Amino acid sequence: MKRVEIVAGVIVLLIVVVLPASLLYPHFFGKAPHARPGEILVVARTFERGGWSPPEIRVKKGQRVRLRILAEDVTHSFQLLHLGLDSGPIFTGKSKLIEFVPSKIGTFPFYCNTRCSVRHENLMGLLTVED
Amino acid sequence: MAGGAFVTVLSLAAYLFSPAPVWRGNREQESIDITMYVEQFAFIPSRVIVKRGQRVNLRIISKDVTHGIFIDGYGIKKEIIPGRPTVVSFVADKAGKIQIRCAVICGPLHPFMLGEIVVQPAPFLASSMVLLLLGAAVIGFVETGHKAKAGNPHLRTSRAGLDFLRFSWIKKIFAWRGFQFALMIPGLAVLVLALLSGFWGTPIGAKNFSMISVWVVWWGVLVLLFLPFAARAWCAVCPLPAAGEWLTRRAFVERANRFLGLGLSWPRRLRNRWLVNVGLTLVLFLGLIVTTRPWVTAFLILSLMLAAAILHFFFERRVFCRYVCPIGGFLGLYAMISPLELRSKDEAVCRRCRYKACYRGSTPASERDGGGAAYPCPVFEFAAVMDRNTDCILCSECVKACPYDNLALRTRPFFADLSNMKKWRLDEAWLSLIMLGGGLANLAVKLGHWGWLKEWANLQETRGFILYGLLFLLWTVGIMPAVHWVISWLSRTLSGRQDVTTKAIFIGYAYALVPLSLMIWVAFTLSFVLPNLSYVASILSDPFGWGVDFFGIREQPWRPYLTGWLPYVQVASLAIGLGLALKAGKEIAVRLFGRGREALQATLPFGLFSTAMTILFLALFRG
Repeated sequence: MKRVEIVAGVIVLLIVVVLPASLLYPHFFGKAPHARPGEILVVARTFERGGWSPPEIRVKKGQRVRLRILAEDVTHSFQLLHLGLDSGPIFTGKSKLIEFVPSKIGTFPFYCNTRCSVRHENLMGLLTVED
Repeated sequence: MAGGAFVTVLSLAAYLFSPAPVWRGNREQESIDITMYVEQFAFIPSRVIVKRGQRVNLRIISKDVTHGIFIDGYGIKKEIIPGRPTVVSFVADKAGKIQIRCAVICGPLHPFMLGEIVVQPAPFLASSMVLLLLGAAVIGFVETGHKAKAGNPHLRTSRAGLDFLRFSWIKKIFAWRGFQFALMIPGLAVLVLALLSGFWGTPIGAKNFSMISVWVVWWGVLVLLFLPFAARAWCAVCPLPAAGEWLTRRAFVERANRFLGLGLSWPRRLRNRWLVNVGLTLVLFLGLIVTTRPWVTAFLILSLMLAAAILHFFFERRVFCRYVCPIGGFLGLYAMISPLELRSKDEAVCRRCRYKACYRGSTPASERDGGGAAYPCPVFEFAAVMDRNTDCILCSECVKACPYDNLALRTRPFFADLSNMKKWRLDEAWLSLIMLGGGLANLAVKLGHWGWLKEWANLQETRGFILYGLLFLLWTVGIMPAVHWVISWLSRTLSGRQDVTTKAIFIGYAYALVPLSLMIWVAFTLSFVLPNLSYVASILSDPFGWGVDFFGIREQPWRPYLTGWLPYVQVASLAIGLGLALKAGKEIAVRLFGRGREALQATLPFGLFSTAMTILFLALFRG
């Protein structure tokens, strides 16, 4: 086989095998693959499409928390009344960073505060603050 | 041509100035308060009529999720959050239709959530009159420029365009065996990414690489650059048949003699464009779903790729590209009017040639004589007698093969192939009619303000979808061609010539409609690409919509480009399309009937029909 064929074969292999594998492997098998360093990524979806992902978040009391909320399908918002948090509308496809230092221990529900579907009220997740 | 351009400028000017220029200040009379509701995926009411000079106060209330409003030409953009009525106020100082768009992604059909504010007096009637006048002017006064060369389809000897292969560096690139591989590779990378993001990325099209790369970037470049100017050059770049071709050739680059596959010859009955017509009608019919669901687009790409691979395995050469691919089909149609052609320079040289390496592929003998290593023409064209662009995919194999350097890739006048009457075909005539009729149906669904029609076409409920399907088919393959047939029959009657068949006229005039449908697709594409182009930045930074941010431009806001200019661009495109179609129609009438009164009389029904079609499109764009 000629050298040019081998080079071409390697390029095709890179595109057809290595590119998909390097994108999909972390997506399916990585732990929090798309979160940026020091952040927790929370994807907001309508209740019908699966709701908050992840639905439960664990953080430590007294440590700074950086939550990045991504509205995937329609406009959502993030509201956690017990800690006085409300992101305001996060328009579709956009993300917003919420920073806070949790001061009390417990498990608190968080909701979407911008109507996002007929089952909008059901869109709930839990944030647990541990010691 | 010059006449057409002149009338175009005239009509543009008329459109710009007929509804009297803007008088601000003292013309600001009363104001009008309108309550408007928004829901997925419509403004209610979807069409509002106001008077010029009025201050329009829109109070907008969302019935479901968060929407937004963007007003073309006024640069107003506001979010509409449920439970918070939003007030937008502006002075309607421009006459005509103002497009309003949803400004916050609200679901799959968001890009087509459109409404209209019509500012009276609307210049629609005025522009229709202009188009009518244009029609009359072209029919009556524009010289077709066709010098009677009766019975000679080989007009090419008289043309001397710029031959790109004369430049040695271009020739070298074309003769390089890796040329086509190098063209396909970037496309293949994009295609793989589009498949991955289509299947595993976000379902929201505007934030998904597959949607934006295919329907904004690729479609935009294809329609605005390749269709009018570059014949079927896209087919040389297209990665769809790559897998099949590489597997059956068992080589990426070099000319190998180890063909893998059955190598059957393509059935004679299918050596035409009927498969293309069926496929294209289907894609146009499902247009709204295909262009708004990432996974459907990915599925379409995948099935085209698989079809190509399977056909490659069973049949010889690229039967997929020549007889099956719907994209290749309409590229072939528009390639006929494109100002670029690949032809043999001197037919005599070809006649003397013993190898015919361009058609049969290179042999050791042809290579000893100066030709390069090359595969046989993938689309069964023999350069010596090829006199139209329709099937040539510009893959460069013949340039490599020819021992006598007898091929030219040269510029030529627009429309060169349309008058090539010997090759007129019924299947291509239907293709042309489908591109026009299907284009109108697509336009009505996508850019219209009728929410219910969008719901039907979106498969939200079965009954509506079936009804939409029936309407679409009835119009595209029923009413439109039927009217065209009646027009052809009228032409025949008016000309008083019994020896010219209605079928011949039907086919001939269908070719004349090609420039009109081209310009309509151009206008349509611009009004889709310009509003959605700004998504490209955020897509580059986060192709899958997963939340990553490669280049830090993920959160770029949506910004429609130049949409205030769309009305002028649309009217100009229609005028150009109509002018060129009429000119082509006149030339074709001359071909059918010979010179004289008969031809001119026979052109009248066609002129009326194409003007009426254009006004129908104008009504959709600007009415």
